[in-house]
Parts: sequence; C-alpha cells; structure tokens
Amino acid sequence: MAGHKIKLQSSDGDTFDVEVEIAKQSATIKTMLEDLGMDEEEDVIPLPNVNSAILKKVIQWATHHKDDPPPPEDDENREKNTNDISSWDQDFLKVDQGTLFELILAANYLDIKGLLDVTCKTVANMIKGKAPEEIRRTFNIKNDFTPQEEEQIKKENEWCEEK
Amino acid sequence: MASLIKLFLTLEPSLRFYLRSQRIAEVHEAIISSLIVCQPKDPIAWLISCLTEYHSLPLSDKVNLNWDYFIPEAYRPVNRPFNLESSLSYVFAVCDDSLEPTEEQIGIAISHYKSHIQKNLFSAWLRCYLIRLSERRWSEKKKHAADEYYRARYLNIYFRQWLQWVKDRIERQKAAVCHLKHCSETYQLRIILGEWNVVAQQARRTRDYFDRIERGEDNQQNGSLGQGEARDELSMLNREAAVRILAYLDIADLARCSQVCRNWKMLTQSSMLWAKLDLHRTNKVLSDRLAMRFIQRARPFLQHLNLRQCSRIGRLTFLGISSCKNLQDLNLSECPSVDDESIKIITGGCHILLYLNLSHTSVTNHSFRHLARHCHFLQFLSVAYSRQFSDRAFGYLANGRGCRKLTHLDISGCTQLTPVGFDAIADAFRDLEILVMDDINNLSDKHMHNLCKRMTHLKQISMWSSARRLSGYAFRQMTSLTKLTTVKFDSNKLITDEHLRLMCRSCSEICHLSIPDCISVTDMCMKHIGTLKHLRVLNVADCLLISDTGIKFLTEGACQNRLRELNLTNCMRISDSSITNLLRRCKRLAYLKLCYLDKITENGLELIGQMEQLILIDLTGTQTSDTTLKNLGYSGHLRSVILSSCRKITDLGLTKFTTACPNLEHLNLSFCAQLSDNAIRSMAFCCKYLTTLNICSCSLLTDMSLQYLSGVCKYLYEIDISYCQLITDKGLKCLGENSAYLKRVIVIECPNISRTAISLLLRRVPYVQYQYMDV
Repeated sequence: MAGHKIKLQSSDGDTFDVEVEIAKQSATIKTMLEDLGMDEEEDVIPLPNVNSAILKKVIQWATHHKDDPPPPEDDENREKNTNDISSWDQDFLKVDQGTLFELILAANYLDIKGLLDVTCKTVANMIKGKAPEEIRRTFNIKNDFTPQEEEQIKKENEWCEEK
Repeated sequence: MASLIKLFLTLEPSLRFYLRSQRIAEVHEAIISSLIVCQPKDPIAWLISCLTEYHSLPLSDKVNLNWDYFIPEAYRPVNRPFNLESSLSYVFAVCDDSLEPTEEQIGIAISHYKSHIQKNLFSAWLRCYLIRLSERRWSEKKKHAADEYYRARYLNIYFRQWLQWVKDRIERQKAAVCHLKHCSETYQLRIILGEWNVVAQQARRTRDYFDRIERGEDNQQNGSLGQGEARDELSMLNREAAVRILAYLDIADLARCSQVCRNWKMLTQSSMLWAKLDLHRTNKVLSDRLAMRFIQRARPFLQHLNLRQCSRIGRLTFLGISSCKNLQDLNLSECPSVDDESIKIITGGCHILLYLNLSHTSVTNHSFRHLARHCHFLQFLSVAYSRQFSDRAFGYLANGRGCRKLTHLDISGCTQLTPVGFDAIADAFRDLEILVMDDINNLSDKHMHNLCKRMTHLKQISMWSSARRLSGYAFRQMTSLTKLTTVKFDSNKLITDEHLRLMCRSCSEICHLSIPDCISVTDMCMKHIGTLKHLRVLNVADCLLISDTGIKFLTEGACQNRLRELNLTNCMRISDSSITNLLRRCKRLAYLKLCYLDKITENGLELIGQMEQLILIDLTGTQTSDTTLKNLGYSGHLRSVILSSCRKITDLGLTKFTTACPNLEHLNLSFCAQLSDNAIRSMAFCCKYLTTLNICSCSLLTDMSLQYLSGVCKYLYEIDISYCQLITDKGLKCLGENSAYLKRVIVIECPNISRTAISLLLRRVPYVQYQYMDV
C-alpha cells in the first residue's frame, strides 16, 4: 500500500517528504489535512514550532511505529511488564536532555500521543527513585528555597524516606 | 318729611310724573319758605296772593321758580330754611318725564342690558375658558418640564455609565500596554540571558575538557546525560507537558520532587496530579494519618483512589475519603480494615462513586444496604473472594433505586452464594454487561437459569474454574444472551457441538471465545465457530478431539478475516495441513500457540515463518529443528518466541533465526539442552532489544553467556537461569552490574552460585527468586 507523500516544512525551511499514513500519526497534521482539504501531493505543511533536527527524529520515530500491533487479549499468562517503554524507544531516546525536552515540545505541538507518552515516561524514569539533590544535579536546577523552607518541606515529606 | 318722601315713593309713576311736570314741589317749597320767612298774619291771604302771582307768570318763569321768589328781597335769608330740594328732588328727579325712558330708550336699554349680560356671560365664560386653558397649558408645561427632566436624568445615568466604561477601558488599555511592554522586555531579557548561558556553558565545557586532558583522564562517556550540562528544562516546558511528566511518578517520588526547587514544588501541587492517587505502591509505609493527609489535600479534585493492600489505614482514612465529594473510583481490595462501618462512612460522603473494588475484604450484607442507599451511579463492583456476605446482599441492591446502573460485576470466588443470590443479581442488574464468576466451583444450572433469562444485555461472561458442573441446560440458556461478545469458561465435559451450534447461531457478535479443556467438542463445533463473523480470539487448548478438519472448517468460515489469536495447545491431532490452511486464509493471525503439537512436522513449522503479521509464536514441545528456525526468521515482525523443550535446536538454528529477527523482545529457550555459549553470543549480538530471556535448564551455558548478554542487551528486564549448572558468581555479578533495567532474576537450583552473590544481586535487583540445593 504505497501511500501518497506530503511535504513537511520545519522552522528552518527544510522540507521532508513523508508518507501520509506516517504523518497522520500526528493529530495536528491529520486535522490540517482533513479540515483544510489540502491536496496531498502539492502542498507543503509548515511546522513553525519544530526545527529540522527534531523533525527528523520525529519522522524517524513515526516511521518505526507506523504498524504498531495492539496487545494480545487472551491474557491468562500475560506477564505484567511494567517496563513499558519498548527497547527500540529507549535506544531512540538516548539523547541529551535538550533534545529530549525539545521532542516533548514537538510531540505536544504535533499531538502525537505515543511519542509524548514515551518521552514523558523517559523523563519520569530519570526522576524516579532519586533524592532531591540528585534530581537537581541531573537537571541542573538551582535550589531556590531558603534554609528554613527547605527544613520545613523536608520534615513534611520525611515519610517517603522510610522506604 | 319722611312720610312725605315715603308717600311720593309709593305713588305711581304717572302720578309722580304729574307732580314733577307741574312743578308742585318747587311751588310748595317756595310758598312754605316764604311763609316761614315772612310769617304773615294772614297766611291764607298770603297764599292766595302768591298763587295768583305765580299763576300769572309766563311758562318759562314757572319753570325756573326759585325758592325765594315769594319772599321780598329784604327778607331773603341766606340759607334755605326749608330745603325740600335735597329730599324731594331726588324723588322727583327720578320721576322726571324726561327721564322716563321712551321705547327707543328701552330698546337701547334692553339691548345694552343684553349685551351687558352677554358680555358678562361671555366674559365669565371667557374667563373660565382662559383659566382652564391656562391651567392646561400650565400642566402641559409641567409635564413637558417633567419629561425633559426625566430625559435629562436618564441620559445622565447612561452617560455616567458610559463614561465609567470608557474610563475603565482606558485604564485597561493602559494596563495592557504596560503588561505587553513588560512581557516583551522579559522575553528580550530571556533571549539575551539564554544566549549568554549557552556561551558560558560552552566555555565551561571546553575548559573542563582541557582540564581533563591535562590530568590525563580518558574521555569516558557515561551515558549521554552529562551532569551539569543542562538547563532547568522542566521549568521551561509549558505547564501541561511538565505536569504530564510528573503524572508518571508515584507519591513518594512526587514528594521528593517537591523538594527540588520552588517551580517544581508548584508543579507538584497541580490539581491534575492529585486527581488520581495511587497509594498502592506505598502500601507498607502508608499510615492512617498519612493517607488521610493526602486525601485531605486532594479533596476537591480527587477522582481516583487506589488503596489496594494498604494494611495500615483505618477510620481516619475512611473519614477523609467520605469528604471527597468528587470521588468516582475507589479500590479498597485486600485492605483488612474495610468493614461495614467503613463502607457506611464512605458511601455517606461519596455519592457519585462509579467504580468500587471490595475484593478480598470482609464486608457483609449491611455494606450492600449502605451501597444501595447512597451509590446509585455505581457501574463497576467487585466483591471477588469476599466471603462474609450472603444472598441477601443482592436483595438489598435490588430494592428501591439501588445500584441499577451496574454494568460490571465481579463475584469470583464467592462460593457462599446460592441460586437465590443469583436470582437476586438477575433481578437487580438488568443492564449488566460484564459478569465475572471465576472460581465459583459450586456453580450449577440453577444458578444460571435466571441469569440468562433476565440479563439480556450481557456482553462478557467469564467462568474460569466455575463451569465444571454446568450441563447442557445452562448452555442452552446462554443462547438467550444474544449480545454476548466474550465467552470464557473451561473444563466442562458436558458441552457438545450442538450447544456450541446453538450458541454461535444466536450470539453472532462473539469476538472472544475461550473454551479450553472442553474435551467433548469435536470438529463440528469448529464449523459452527467459523460462522462467527467477528471472532478475533479463539482458545481451544486441550480440546483433544479437534483435528485438521476442524481447523479447515474454521479457516473456511466467516471468521478468517478477523482471527488474530489462536491457541491450539495440546490439540494433538493437528498436523501440517492446518498450518497450511491457517497461512492461506487467516492473514491477520498475530498470536499463535501450538504447544505440544508433535504431529506437526518441520514442513508445517517452516510455513509459520511466512505468516506476515505474526507477533507471538509458542512452539513448546514441538518438533522444531534448525531448518524450521531458519525459515521462522522470515517474518521479521516476530517479537515473542517460545521454544521451550524444543530439543532439536542447536546453535546453528538459533543463530540463523536471531540474525533474521532483530526485533525479538521475549525469548524462551528453556530445556533446549543443546544450546551453548555461541548461540547466546550470536543472539545477543543481533537482538539488542531483548527484554525477557529464559534459559532454564540449558545446561551447557556458562558465565560467558551472561557476559555476552550483559554487554549488549542493555534492556534486559527479566532473566531465568534456573538449573544452569555451570553458571557461577562471576556471571551473576556481570549481570547485576551491567543491566540497568534488570528487575527480575530467577536462579533456582544453581549449585555454583553462592549466597553472597545472591545478596549482592539483591541490592540492585528488586526481585530475585532463588533456592539452594542442600549439598
């Protein structure tokens, strides 16, 4: 089923040819195509909020996930795998934080639920299980509490340290 | 004299006229006055002389007779002694004949009088009219003035309002201009600072790099997340995306996040995060007071609350729950402190509860009464394995408004219910769609009788381990449930092809049919099952009588287009032709289980590789060999392969297979005793996305395998290396150190692994199952 291709233009002006089925994973693009009745062959869809590097990655992700199978229903002995980011995605998201957050913003803008979920989960995994100081170090955050405030918050939340 | 005047006044006008014209009064006056003045001795002779003198006078002199005519000059007084004139002249004057009006005069007088009257009347009328006119005019003026006044005030009010509005708008515009200015300045500042930040960090990085080089360290890359090289990106994201990220964390992590910085603290207090509270994962540390504090904090927006297995919660928590008026979703399964009192408290407060899970609790009939009284919107109720209530409970739910909107009911394990209870259920929940009745081993036809008759909307019915005693009667009753889409039961010896025929004919919407271990069904039932157009999932495991003919019927039926999952475990009679049929007809088959089907030869198994959409294949105990594996690799979509007990497999086959299937995520190679380290090496090399691996009883594998695995398969989540005699502590250590995502390890009966290694592993991996052989 060779699909039509449409052109997506990033904020830097680069255009990328993408199959329509792959591009339609983005609800924003899908709405644009359906509501505006764009002729799929000719027109270029401008995406002013996404730069070329990020758009390239998004297209890569969408291409890999275009045929995602739904999960099995006969679930007698289905193991509960809570590590539900697939390995390919984990590999794909081994990028620096800047790119990761830009991917989040792009997925949010283009309304691609799968990519948004997986990137948010990745960032959440980076936060899980870490003490506040470690989180600060990971994300390079400045601690702007006064010592009294910090003391008070720590006391409020000391129950989670019992683990 | 008065009487005289009176006399004259009473005389008729003609008489008066006579007296007047003859001038009797003057004569009288003259005579009397002369008499008075002269006082003659003989008055009568005097009178006669005077009168004859008067009589001889000419007429003109008679008219002008003075009073003193008869008095000789010498005696003339100055004053008239007797003034009749004044008294009588008036009288006579009135009756002067010249004053007597003539007709003409009367006419004139009358006309004067008329005109006078007219004038008076007219003037009176005119006055009156003028008065009225002026009054009217005045009232009009007044009205006019009032109108004007009213208009003026009216306009004034509106004018004032408009003025106020204009002033407000001007104020707002000024404020907006200020704000915009402020925004644009902030934005500019942000850009400037951002750029400066980038330059500064690049300089720092370069400096660090040079420092490192000078110190002689090698440039190691610990992951791509170098420390201190990122900005506070989370705060730069828009709030919605940042909250989405935090939504994946549980409460303990959220608590830690709130300590990071002010912005994060604010984000953790976002109401979206507190709409769903999952306290199940912190069930051990969660005390009553703490749970209540969380619930109180999230009170207005709490919609979903999961308190599964929270053993320490008590009355305080339940009071907190009842104050959450928006709670829709409550899971209290396995909480030992849930009893009737707590249900009473909770249902008293949470009236819009939609989902309630009370499985494994000790609720009794009273709880149901409280439920029926308060929770009219309940849609999902689970009381699985809660044995303390009886049939009457559902009787309560059937009363009054009850919980009639229930669509999903789970009564698994409630063996205390009798047919009466089931009748009550059928009465109470006419709209039920999903009914789960697993593990009720005394389920009989009587139970099913009313259920099937009344619950015509039932869509999903599940009776694992409960269907043993059901007979044909029950299955015939089930045909009246025409809207069924999912049917699951097992181990029933009495169901025959005829029952299935009836069921498939009346319940044509079935898309999920699981009837494992129903040994009386034969190939004919497959023919009937094949007529189900919507069938997606079919499980006929352990139905020993099914053979190739049955599969042929199945694949020729209407369901061939949609069939996705097929489980033919232990259907011993199936051979190669079934696989051919499946391949040819069921294009969408994605999950296929062919365990222990040793009649299928290599030829048949090779065909499996050509199934394009296959994701999972289970070939436990089949005749799989190396050539099979080679051909299996043709379908690059395979994610999950189970080759347990395929004793013919060697390294060669596995290598060829894994080379072709790089997307493999789950692999089970247990009991494939011929495999050695080379196989694992090539597998690890190709399948770097592997998450689950089972190499139980692959006795030739050594520590090298684990080293290969841990070096490449970074995403390994679960591994089972039980009974691998040659694996030692070294291998385990490798595994523990290098696999960042490893969460489950099963190490049963590995004699060369010591306790210290296990305890070291336990520090990194949450779940390790082990068992020591007592030497």
